[in-house]
This record gives sequence, structure tokens and C-alpha cells, in this order.
Amino acid sequence: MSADAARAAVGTLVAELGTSPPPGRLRAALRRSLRDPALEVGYWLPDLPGFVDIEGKPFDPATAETATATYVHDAHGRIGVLTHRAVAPAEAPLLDGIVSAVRLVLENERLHAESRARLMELEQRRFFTDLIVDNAPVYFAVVDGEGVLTGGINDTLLAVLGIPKTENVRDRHYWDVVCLPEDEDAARARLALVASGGAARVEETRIRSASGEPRVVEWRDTILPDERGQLKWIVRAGLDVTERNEREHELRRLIEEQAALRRVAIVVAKQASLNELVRTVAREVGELLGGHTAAVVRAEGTGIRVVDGWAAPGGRSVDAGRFVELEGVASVTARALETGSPQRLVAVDDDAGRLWQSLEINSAIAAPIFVDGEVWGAINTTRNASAEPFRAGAEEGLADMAALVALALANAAAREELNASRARIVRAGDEARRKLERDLHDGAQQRLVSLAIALRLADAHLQKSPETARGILRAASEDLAGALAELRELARGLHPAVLTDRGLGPALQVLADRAPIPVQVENGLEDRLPTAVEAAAYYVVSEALANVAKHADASAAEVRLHRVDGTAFVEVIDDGVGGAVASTGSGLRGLADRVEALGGRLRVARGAEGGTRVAAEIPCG
Amino acid sequence: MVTRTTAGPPTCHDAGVTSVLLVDDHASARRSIRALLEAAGYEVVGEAADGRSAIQQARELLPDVVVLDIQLPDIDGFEVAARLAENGHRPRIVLTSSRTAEDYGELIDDAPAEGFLAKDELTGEALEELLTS
Repeated sequence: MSADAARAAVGTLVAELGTSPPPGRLRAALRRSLRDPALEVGYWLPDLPGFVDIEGKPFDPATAETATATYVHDAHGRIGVLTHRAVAPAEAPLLDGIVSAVRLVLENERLHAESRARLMELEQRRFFTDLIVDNAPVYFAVVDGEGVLTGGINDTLLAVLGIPKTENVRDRHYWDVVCLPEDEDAARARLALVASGGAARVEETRIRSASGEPRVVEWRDTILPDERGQLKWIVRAGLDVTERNEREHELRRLIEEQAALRRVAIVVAKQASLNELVRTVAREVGELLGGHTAAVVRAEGTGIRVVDGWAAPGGRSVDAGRFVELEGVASVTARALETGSPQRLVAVDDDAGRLWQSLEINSAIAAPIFVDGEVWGAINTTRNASAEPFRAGAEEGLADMAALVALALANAAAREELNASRARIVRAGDEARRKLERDLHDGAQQRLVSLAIALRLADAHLQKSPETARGILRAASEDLAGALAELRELARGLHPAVLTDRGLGPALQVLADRAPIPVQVENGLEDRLPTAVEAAAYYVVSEALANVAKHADASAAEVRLHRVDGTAFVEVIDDGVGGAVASTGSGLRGLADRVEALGGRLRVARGAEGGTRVAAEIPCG
Repeated sequence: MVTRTTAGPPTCHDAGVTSVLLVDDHASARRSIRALLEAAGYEVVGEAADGRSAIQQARELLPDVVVLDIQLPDIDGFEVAARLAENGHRPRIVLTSSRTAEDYGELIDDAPAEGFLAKDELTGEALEELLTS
């Protein structure tokens, strides 16, 4: 092709393309100019960076069907590429001319391709955004200034509301679609406030749900203005906080419950009076569980007696000391006492319910209080008819309180028993001294007085009637022997000398030898025990053998004595009729006190083969 | 033989013999004291083992002297003495005990009695001395 021909072809091309041809015209014109039907045009997008075709799709010159790529540049750099069949050297000027001529058009088309490419990207982004919006665990609703869902709602919210994706909600009001009927006015007001720019950004409300159980949603509102800066849309993004709130509520309830338990535990630890403890527990229970009354009651016969209680303002007053008959009454406390487990009752429309309604109570819960494995009483709390009934499971919270009351009662009982035991020990000591004084007075002292008198009498008769005097002296001598025997017996009863001198084993053997029935002593001790332990063990055996002789109707008995890891064990087992009880007989009770005063324990039970087994274990300090 | 002294109260018994009611809850003591007093010439007209029968016997027997043990199983000797003192017939009362006077302190001084004799010091002479003092 000559230079002229080339110029002519380029001129035709320029005339054909003009300055702003429709997109795609360039490629057609170039194909004709270069008589190359496979020619392709690529447009350089520096942002990619890379080539795209006229549709904005990526274009790689290296993969083009034609062999040659001619790059087109302007003053700022690369703007495009032509891929075409190889041109003969003679055609090179034509190609140069064409490249120069199409530079402007190519740039125009490049901009067009760039727009398409950007549009495609935007569409991809929008698709991506829609994907996120519809699948995110967040609710979206887009309303206009009138509250109409012109922007729709996302799939997540549709699913919760139970609305099919196919249903069009875009011409309906937000509150008609999303809100609970009773919340519609509030939602209307809220959106109006948001539209006016006056609302806080975050709001927590309830919404409907397909399950029927309202969901709690924390909404964040964002205003989208139009190009004039006027409100176009309000975008509501909502986080479902139903479970979070429930967890927080549960956590708060647990914290409050723990705090209440702690406060009651402090009162328990202070060893406060039962009444103070009961009032504290009742108040804490009432306030914690939102009751209107709360009381601690003690089981008594077929009813209960109110120990004390608490009433909220508006609650019925709790009368301490009042007896309430429970027989035939549908009472939550009666149920708790019967079943031994926490109970909850909500008034229903039956006789009991109507009774409750007459008392203006709609629900009550109660938990039993156990002391020493027995039901002692219960804690209960009630709610007025004006309030919601207690939630299911509220009664479980009472059980912990009941356990604390039980602990306090057990402590008080233990303290009472300790005090009683001390008093018994003191009384027993006093009684023993009185008895000793009486024994001395009635026994040895009287005999000695009689002796003194007899000696004086003998003296008086000595001169005139020596025979009488001798008789008096003989009688006096017998009296003296009797007095000595009494003194010995008395001394032995005070404290056995053999125990002091020889220890427990020999002392128990002496007891066994004196017993009216055969008693075998099995002594496993190698060393002496502390004096107090020896004395306690000795008196356990002494009293037990005395009881065997008096009451057991036994033919034989056995005494066992041994020590394991710092604890002395002493047992007396007989083959008699059995039936002895430690808490009743004053002798055994006194022994139990003596043993318990040393930190030990005395048990009286039926023996393995009948009879009675008295067993003491005493720490050796 | 001990004769009644001029200081003694009138008696319902034979002149010259002092009648005694012996009150003690211990039979052996009653036996010894009776022998001792009788050896000393007193006439023991009755014995009582407790306070109530002592009062009853004193009313019936109208003894000159009541030898009254303080420690008795029902009411004590001080109470018996007080009740005897309320009667129309007021026997002379000698308190006695196997304890000593120090064990009772002012109770003995305040009692409507001639005085106190510990049992181991009780003799006819001591009794007479007390009654005549």
C-alpha cells in the first residue's frame, strides 16, 4: 500500500468515525480499514491495571487469535491495544496512520469501556452487599420519611417475621409489618423523631416473630439524605438481643441471688437470734423474688405456725405466731412440706384459685427447710393478684435460702445442745457434791457421832456397870467397822485408785471382776491414755456395766478397749434384752456429756446379736 | 438423876424428871442419844424422825425439852422450832446436829431455842448446862 493509499484509508476512517462514534464502531471501522475481520481492540484501564474489551470484560492481548499486538499510547501513556494479523512492511505506514487517527476515538471508547467495567464492578459489589445484607444475622429495614418500607427489609428479618421472600412489603408501613400491635404508636413516633433528627441512635424494642414469642431488637438508625440533602431513607439496622438480654437478666438475677444469700449467710454467721434471721430471710426472699409477702413457717401438727415474715407495701401483713391449719387446703407450703421439694402454685379458676383470688394472691412459691434430715418448716412468698405470677423455676431460688435457714437452725440447735450439755455437766457436778455430802453426813458422820456418844456412854457406865460399858464398846467397834467400809466405798466411788495408779486396763478389769455376771475385758491398749480420757472411758464402762446389772437381764458382757490414730474406742456389749437409749437415762446422758466435753461421741445401740452396745470414741488430744 | 432447875419451864411430868422429845432422822443417832440422856437421868418420852411428826408429838406429849436435829427430811429444825414456839405449850428447844454451829451461823441465834449442841458434844451435863444457863 502506498503512502497515498494509506492516507486515503485513514481519511476514510476519520470521516467514518467522526469524533464521537457509538461504542464498538471503532473495531468495525478498523477491521474494514485493515481488512482484518479478527482484529480486536483492547482498552487500557490503569486502575486494574489491565485491558478490557468494549463490554468492560477483561481482555488479554496475549490470548488474542491474531498474531500481532499494536499498543496505542497518548501523551500520558498506554491507552489501548489492537490485535490483528501481522502486517506486511508496506502496510506499516497505514498501521501507524490508523493508530494516530484512532487515538482520540480509542480514548473515548476506553472511557466507555472503563465505565462499563466500573458498572460491572458496582453490580458485583451490590450483589455482594445484598448477599451480606440478606444473610447477615442482623435485621435491616429501610423506610422513607413516612415510615413506608420503600427500601424493603432483608431476608433475615423476613424470616423472623415469617414473611415469604416473594411477598412485597415495600408499600406497607414499617410498624404494620414489624411491630407488635401495642408498639405501633411508639414506632410511628420513634421514626418521626428519627426523621426530624432528634432521636437517639440506638433504641431497644420488641418485634413480632413467626414463633409468636416477641423478639427484642436493638435498632440503630441511620439517615440517608437525597442529593439535595433532604431525608430520603432511614436505614434501621437491628441486632436481635433477645437471648443476650435473657442471659444478662439471668446473670443479674444470679448476682442478686448470690448477694442476698451472702447477706443472709452473714446473719447466720453472726449467730443472730432466730427471729432476726427469719425477718432477714423473709425480706431478702421477698425482695429478690418480687413477692408481696414472705414468711418462714414451722410445721406444727396438721398446720403451720408463722415464725415471722415480711410484707412489701401493699402486701398482706404477716402475723408472727399465727397458726394456720393446712388440712384440706390447697397450699403451696403444704405441698412443699409433703413433697420435701420446692413448689410453685399459680391461681387457676377452681375452688383453690377462687380462695386465692379472695386473698388477692395470684401465685405463691415455697421451699421446705430440713433440720437433721426432717422437715422443720418452710419459706414461702406470695404475689398479689395485681402482679404477674412468679415465673416457672422461681421456687428453686428459695431452696438455697431454705438451706441457710436450716444451717442457722442446726447451729442454734447445736449451740443449745452445747449449752444444755454444759448445764448438765455443772448440774451433775453439783449433784455429785450434794450426794457426796449427804452420803458422808448420813453415813460415816452419823456413825462417828454415834460412836462419840457411845464412847461417852461407855465412859459413864465404866465404873458402875462395866458389863454395860463393854456391850456399848462392842457395838461401837462394829459401828466403827461399818463406818470404815462406808468410807472406803465412798472413796472408791469418787475416783478409783487403781485407775490412777495402774491405768484403764487394770481398772476396767476390777470393774469386770466386781460385776455380777461374767465380763470379759479385751484390752488393746499399749500405753496409758490422757487422764481425762481414762476417766471418761472408765465411767462409760462403769455406768454401762451398772446398767447391764440393773436392766439388761444379760448372762454375759464384753468390754473392748483399743486406740486407733489418736482416738480411744471403748465398747461394752451385753447379750441382754436391749433397749437402752443415750438421750433418756440420766446416767447415759451424763456420760454422753462427759464424752462430748472431750470432743468425743457416745453411741448406744442394739448389738449385732441383740443386747445393747454402748460405744464411746474419745480423741486423745 | 438430874432435877429440873428453877430456870426450867413448868412440866406436866413428875417433879424432878425432865421429859425429852428426841427428834432425829437417823435411828442410830436417836438410839445413842436416848441411851445417853437416859443414863443422865432424863426421861425420853418420845422420838420423831421428821419435822411434822415432831410437832405433832410435841403437842401430844408436852415434853419439857425437845432435842431437835436441824437436818430433817421434810422441814428443817429451825422451822420446827418456829412452829413449836407458836404453840400454847412452848417446850424448851435444844438444837442439835452432826455439823457444828459454824455451819449454821446466825440461824441458831435467831431460832426460838435455848441453844445448840453438836451431837458429838451432847452429854447430860452439856444439856443441863445449856438449860440452866
